[in-house]
Parts: sequence; structure tokens; C-alpha cells
Amino acid sequence: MLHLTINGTSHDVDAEPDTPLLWVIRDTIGMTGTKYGCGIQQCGACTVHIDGVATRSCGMPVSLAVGKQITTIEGLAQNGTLNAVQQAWIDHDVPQCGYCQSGMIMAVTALLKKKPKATDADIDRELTNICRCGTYQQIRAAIHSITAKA
Amino acid sequence: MAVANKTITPASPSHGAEKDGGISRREIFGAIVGAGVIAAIRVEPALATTQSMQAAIRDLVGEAKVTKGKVHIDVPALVDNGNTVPLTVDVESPMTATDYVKTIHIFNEKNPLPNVINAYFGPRSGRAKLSTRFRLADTQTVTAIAEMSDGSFWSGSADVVVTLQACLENLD
Amino acid sequence: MNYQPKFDRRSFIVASAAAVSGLSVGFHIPFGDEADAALSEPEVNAWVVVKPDETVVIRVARSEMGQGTLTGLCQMVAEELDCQWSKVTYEFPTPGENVARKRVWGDFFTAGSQGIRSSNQLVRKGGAAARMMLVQAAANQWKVPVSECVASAGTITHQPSNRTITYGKVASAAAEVEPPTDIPLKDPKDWTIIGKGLKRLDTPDKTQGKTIYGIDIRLPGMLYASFKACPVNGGKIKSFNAAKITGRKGVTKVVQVEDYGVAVIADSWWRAKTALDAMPIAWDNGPGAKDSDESIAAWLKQGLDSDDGLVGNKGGDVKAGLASAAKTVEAVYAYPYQAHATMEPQNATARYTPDRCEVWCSTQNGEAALATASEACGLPVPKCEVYKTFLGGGFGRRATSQDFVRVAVLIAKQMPGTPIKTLWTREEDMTHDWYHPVTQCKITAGLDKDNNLVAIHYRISGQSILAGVMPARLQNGKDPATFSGFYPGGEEAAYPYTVPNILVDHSMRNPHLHPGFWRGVNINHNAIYIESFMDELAKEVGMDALEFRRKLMTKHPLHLASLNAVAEKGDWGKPLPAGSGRGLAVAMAFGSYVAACAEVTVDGNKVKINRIVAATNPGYGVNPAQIERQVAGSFVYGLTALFMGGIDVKGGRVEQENFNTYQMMKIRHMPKVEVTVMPSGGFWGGVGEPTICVAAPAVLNAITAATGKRYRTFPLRKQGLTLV
Repeated sequence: MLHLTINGTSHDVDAEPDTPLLWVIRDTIGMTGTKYGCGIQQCGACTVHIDGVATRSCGMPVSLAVGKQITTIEGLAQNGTLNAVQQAWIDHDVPQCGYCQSGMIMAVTALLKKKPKATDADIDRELTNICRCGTYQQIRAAIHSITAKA
Repeated sequence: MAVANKTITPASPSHGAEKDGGISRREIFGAIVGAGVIAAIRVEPALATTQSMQAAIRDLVGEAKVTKGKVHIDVPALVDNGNTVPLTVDVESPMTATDYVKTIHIFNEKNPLPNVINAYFGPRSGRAKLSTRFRLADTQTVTAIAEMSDGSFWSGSADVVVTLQACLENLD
Repeated sequence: MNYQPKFDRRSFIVASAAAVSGLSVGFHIPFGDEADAALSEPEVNAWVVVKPDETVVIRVARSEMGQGTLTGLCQMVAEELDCQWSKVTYEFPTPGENVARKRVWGDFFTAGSQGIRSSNQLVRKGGAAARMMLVQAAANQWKVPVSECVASAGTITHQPSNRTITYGKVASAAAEVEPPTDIPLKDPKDWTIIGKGLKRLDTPDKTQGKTIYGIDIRLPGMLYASFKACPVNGGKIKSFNAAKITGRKGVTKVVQVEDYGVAVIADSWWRAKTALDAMPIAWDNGPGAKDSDESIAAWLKQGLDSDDGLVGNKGGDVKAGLASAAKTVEAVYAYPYQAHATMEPQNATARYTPDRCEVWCSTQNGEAALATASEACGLPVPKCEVYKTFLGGGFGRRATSQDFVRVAVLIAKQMPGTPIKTLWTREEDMTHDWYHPVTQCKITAGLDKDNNLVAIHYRISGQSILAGVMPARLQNGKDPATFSGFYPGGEEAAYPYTVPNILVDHSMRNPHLHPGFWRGVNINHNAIYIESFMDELAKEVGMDALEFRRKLMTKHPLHLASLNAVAEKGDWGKPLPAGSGRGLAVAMAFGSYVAACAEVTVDGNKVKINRIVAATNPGYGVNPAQIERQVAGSFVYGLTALFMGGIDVKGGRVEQENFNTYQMMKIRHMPKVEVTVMPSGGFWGGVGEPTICVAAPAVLNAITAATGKRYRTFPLRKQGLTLV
């Protein structure tokens, strides 16, 4: 049995230690907000936070997540209040199909935690999540609206 | 490189040659299936329309009245691509020497030819039922007309939705 | 305003509820043998439910895959219904319900940029009829003439007496009113909801991971399947050694799928996938294995000069025109296969019993999914049902072939009673796509002694989508869709120029890869062929690219208006530093007139797209904010394909399997995109697709303006260019 802490809640899971964390979150525990896009850490749809660090969960064996604080998209809102990135996403109507956006929001949240006044160069260098619908222009505008207030 | 095309040409119709449940087919396939070069361009008539279907039905029945009833069509309400659609037509009749179904004709609105299949029966056929597969190019109404031994005509129809759609501009 | 998939009275709460802090409370999924009504009540008509608390539930037939049609359709119903927009929510009726109710919701098909334009009359009338019935119900209750009552923002007022009543209070009575047959619609100038850039209804859920896509379906007792088909399209499965893996933990069963595939069923998808990867399989690759990029290209090249051209557009006498031309210009272009690469890989969940077959899936064509399920399992349509979820991308992949449904049903049929989620890996998805077809184009143009364009011949050689997907729609063997953007006139995809002698013909050559409809379809490469070559002609005669086009567009005012709009806003003609350039493109596709002006800077082999100014005239614009997003988003799709895309074939197999080799634009590549939406009224053009086609030629023309080099073979990564 592996003991995981996700969004502050404890879970005991029965999974092989090399099962990617992504599939434990989605299938074993049943939290489907974190998405599968490629399985080879290229697209970022599976991004979660491990102790606050943005991590592509499709490439992390679940055994390595034991003892860490795992945060998923479902855990960003606190007491029903969306975090700044989620709110900016709504204000700018960012998502189209929305499938990449869980990972995108997790990646941007981590970036802005590290760099509250992230510049365009920071965004260009650090945000490598794939969006097939091409919402990049709205993403950038939404990030600007947050950094402008930081 | 090229895989030779199979172009299926229509079989020539044979009318009334068979009794007792024989079937005469004029099934038109009309499509190029499989990969490869089109070796020859076949000229096909323009697609049938509701009007041409009505005209074909009039050719069959002449001035006689066609009554709705007795003819039951069983065909799926939805088909994916219409390449091979199962169809059963069943006509209520005692099928006795004096009261039987002579023919069942199937018509459609949008295949290349409006009259798709004809089936011939006699009192010894036992049952006036036709089961076959045919091709539908598009969503349309299928009509079956039964001609009885007393010269009367009965009809039934069914709508079939062909769901395979093209992400296309409106070409018509 | 959270969307809840439909539920019935015996619905089951999703398993493992204890841990699911993220899922909405009361999230139900339909599951069970009962097919009773699971849509909201009470219904005023098929389109509108008004609850006692004044919530308005709008039924939406089309699929939502990011293009915003869900919100747009709701805007149209709400406009005619005259309800408060803040009270609006939505639900998706199933295709089975549509069949049972004699297709009251019309077509479920969502592609071809048709979602709004082909259903706008139907849904607006649905909303208007519901409003009329609500007003009638109020009038009946008050016993006054209906002509003395008006409806506005969810309230009905009897004007002479000033009595009011809200929709929710008369909804049940409204359902009993005889539906009107004469249903007038509002004049567009009176629209207050249509035409506004309202926020999308599905956004809040999408920011919290709450949206349920096909891949997210969870049902009690559900198992998972991983699936593989022969790596070469058209090949078959020879044998597989299940004994090697059946002992693995969680593996339940190994099943063959028809003659081309195999699946492993297990209690988790990861266990199913790893077991399938470990299982020895022998394939019979079939005749397609002989094909490669080289052999395909050589075969297509023959079609540039062969005598088997099927004619799409013909005017005057091109042969004579070219023969008498003072100068001829010729070029050959080539555009490759492209994959859809929806972010959500293909999947479907199916449950089969001898009495009922149910499917849950992301699909652009709910009725095709239903028909496919019925055909795959052998049960008649009334015994089958499809529950549509949100899509993690469609782009045409989920519009036509419902292969992901067929495979899932065939697998589920081998374990009756158990719901099984079949999920394809990204690798399986990318190598088993219905690809944007491969084509080449040879263009020969004739100029007279005054440098007027007097003759032009476009010979397209390559794959026909219709021949591969629906041969019944070929017309005398010809695929009319091939000529998108070349039509002589009409409301769909008209060529932007007047040339006295023109011939557009197609030598159809169909390699073994499945072709499919890929966002924009044939206008993608046709716009490159047309617009890049127009620039070649302009350069040949030493004319400005805009002026050269304008001369040919006097009879195409709507095309010209879009082109002028981008030229002006894009600062056409203003100087740029060395190494930078601008390019133009104009087209008509899916009923809309679109244009782009791109500005790039090229440094060695690095291309930076600084800015693209776009214009679209879709006739009417239901939600301008969404239109802007669709335009910019479509550019990402088209430019990714131009620079980084291209599907390569070797030994009959598709070489690219994942995003490491089939690369995608990231935010750092994204240019500034400015969009002008210029609806001229009077027609309904599409939005999801048309604009994709002008980005690539505008950028290509800009690159040539910056460097003097012309590129005619794509993708650009093979020409040494890198997008930065």
C-alpha cells in the first residue's frame, strides 16, 4: 500500500510502485481533472504540484510521490474561492476545449508563485504546455492581468 | 504502387423470369472502393430526386391508386455510412391462388436510380417477404410498393438517416 | 451554472466518492437498464426547460469541442426566448432521444463550421416558439388576449393592467399549449444577446478540472482496455501470445478486434497498457507496407502531367490562353499529410448486454456514433444509446469515422455486462489517424504583353478525402471537395479572382493512409497554392502583391473588403527593416471571406512571426469574442502544421508517434494576432474553420518578402526553417 497526500487528504493506494502518478490520481483514486495527453512529458496536460513544484505526473513513478504534498487542479481553489489564475482564466474567457487547461493552470500557478512579476521572456521560456486550440494569446493576456497587480 | 480499382458495374435487369420467390436485382453500387488509381471515369446519371422517384412510381402504377398500408418496411433508423443497409419488406397477404402479392418494388429518393429493387412472387411463394442489403447515398425516404393479384397497389415507407457526414462546405 | 451530464432517477454516484474533492457534488452519470427520460423537466418544448426557480435549461444538439458553439447556440435560443442570460444553463440530449422523438433536435453533426449556420433557424424558432407558448400560457391564466402581453427578460407583462408573471410560474402550463406553426423571428437589428461577446457557459468548470470528457467517464464496475491495430493501415493481425501476459496483476482478458486489432482488458488502464506493450504480436502489414514518402511523392508527381484530370473549375480556354501568352510562369507545390492530434486521445466507454448497448464518448457526430454502436454490436438502434461528453478537441477527427466507438463496442461485446473504457495511447492515436490528405499542385500561368494574368491552370495531384471516407458522395468519380477555394462562384468557397481562362483539375491518387477532414480541409493547401503563387506572379511582373490582386478582384467585393481591411490595419506598404517582410493572403471558405496580413523577421534559418492581422466576414457574428479566439486559435493549428508538422511514411507506417517528433507550437511561438470581425449581414458563414487557411500563405509570402527565397514544399522544418 502506498500512502499519498493529495490536496491535503490522505489516500492509501494499491498500485505498482512504478505506476505513473498520473494514472494513480485518475484511475485508482478517481480524480479526473489531471489529464493524459502524451505520456512522455511533452505536453504538460498532466501537470501537478509536488511540494509546490510543477511536475508532469505522467513521468513520475507513484513511489516517488510518497511523503510529498501533491496538489492537483481540484485542490487549487480554497474554500470555494478560485485562485488568481483560475479567476483570470474566467475573466479572459481563456479555455476553448479546455482539455489542456488543468495542466496549463497548474503550470502558470507554479510559475507565478516563483516569479510573481513574470515577464514575457519568463513566460516564453517556462510555459511549454501544449494547447491544440491555440489559446496562447488569451493565456498571455490573463497572466499579464495578474502580474500587473503583483 | 497502384492497387487496381474494382469498379462494380450494374448487372442488367431481368424481369419476371423467376416465379415463386425469385428476385430480380438492379442494385447499383456505383462507387469506387479501395485505394488506387481510378482507371476509367464512369458516367453516372444525376442523383434521383423526390420528383424522379414519384415519376418512377407513376411509371409503375399508371393511373391506379396507391393505398398506404399492408406493406411493412424494416430498416435501421440510423445507419453510419449507408454502404450496406439491411432492408426487409413484408406484405400482408393470404398468398392464396386468388389473393397474393405479385411484386414488391423498392424506390428511394436519392440513389442514382429511383427504382432500386424489384421482387416477384406467386401464390406458392408462401410469404411476400423480401430481405436484402442495399446502398443509400444519403438520408432519405425509402418507399415500397406492392402490386397485388387483383391489380391494386399498396405502399409503405420509412425514413433512413445516414449519419456519416462530411466536414464539407455545402456543395449543392 | 455547472453542467451536469444527464441523469435518471436510478443514477449511480461515481465510485470512490470519498476521495473526490474535485468532482461536483451530485455528479451523476446515466447508468442502468432504464431508458426513461433523463433530461430536465418541465419542458416547454424540446428546446427549452424553465424550472420553477427561473433557471432556463437549453437543449443543445451539437458538440462542444472548444469552438464555442455551445454558448453561441444558447445565445440564439435565449435571444428569441427573451430570458435572462444569467439564468441560462444547458444540457445535451442524446442521439437516441433524438431518434425516438423523430429528430426534433435536427442534426447532431458538428463540423464544417456548420454548428451555428445550419441550425440557426431551427434553434431560434425553438426559442421563439417556447416564448410564444409561455406568453400564451400567461394570457390563458389571466384570461386576456395574448396580443396584450409581451415577454422580456424572463417576465411576461399584460400591458393594459401591468400584471406580470415570470416564466417559471407558467412553464408547466406552457407545455400544454398547442405549439405555434407560424413563428416569426426577431430582426437582427433588434438582437441584444446574439452579437454580444458574452462569456462562455463552460469556462468555469474548465478552470477547475470539473469538465467531463470522454476519457474521464467512470462507471461502477468499469474495466479498462488498451488497444492496438496493425501499424500499417489496411494490414491485419496474424497472431498474438496472450499466455505471456495473462498472469499479470489486474489483467482480465485479451480479445481480438475483428481482423486488425487486439486489446487487453484490465482493472486499470496502466495495467492494460503495459500488458499490451509486453505481449508478443505478429502483424501481416499488407500491401501498404510497400509505400513510403518517396514512392507516394513519385506517384503524385506523375499526376501533375497525366491526362486523368477531373475538372473542378473551368472557364474560357486555358490551353489557348497559355499558348498565346507572352510569358508563362510555372511552379510546383507539395503539402504533406497532417495528423489531428486532439489533446484528448481517442477513446470510448461501452457497455453491452444482449438487450442494450450504451456508449459514452467524445464525438462530433452523435448520431453516427449511435449508428456505429448499433452496427458494431448488432442491436437495433432503439436498443442502443450514446451519451455525449465535452470533447478534448475535435478538428474533424471525431466527426466522420467513429472508429473509436466501433472498437470500444467490439471489445465490450466480448465481456457482456461490464462497462469497459477503451483508451488509445497517444502513439496509437497518432499512427491511426484519418489524416489531412497529401497533395501536390502544378500551377501554370500565362501573362499577356501588358502583364495581365490571362490564363491559369492548377493541376492538383493527390488524395481524395471523399474517396476514402464516403465514396457515395463522389460525383461521376470526382471529389468536389478537392476544389475548395477554387469554385467559380457561390456561397461557400469561391475563387477570389477573375481570370479569363482558368482550369482547375485533379488527378486523384489515393495512397493507403486513411484520409480525413482536418480543420479547414482542402482549403489549407489550396490557399497556399493560390496565394503563394499569386505572389510569384506579382513578383514576376514587378507589381506590389496587393495591387496585383486588387486588379483581379473587381468582381469579388467581399473578398476584396477583407483583403483591404488587413492590408490597411497591417500597415501594408510601410517600410520595414532588412530581414523583415509582410505577406498577404485572401480566401473564401465555409461561407466566410477571410484574409490575413503577416509580418515576419527572418534571421538565418530562424523565423519569428511578429504579427498577423486577420479579418473575417462571416455574414452574421453571434459572439465576436469567440470569433476572435477561433481565428487566433486556428492560426496556431495551421502554422504548427506548416512549420513543424508533416506526417512521414516509411514501410507503410506513420513515423511520428508523439509530440517529440510531431511538434507543436508553444506560447513562445505565438505571434500577436489582431482580428477584425466584419459581418456584412445577409448570410451565415462559418467561424471554426475558414480563417485557418490564410495564416500559412500570408506567412510564406512574408518570408519571401523578407528573404527573397520562395518555399514550395512543406513542412518548413524539412526546408531548414525553424519557427522561434
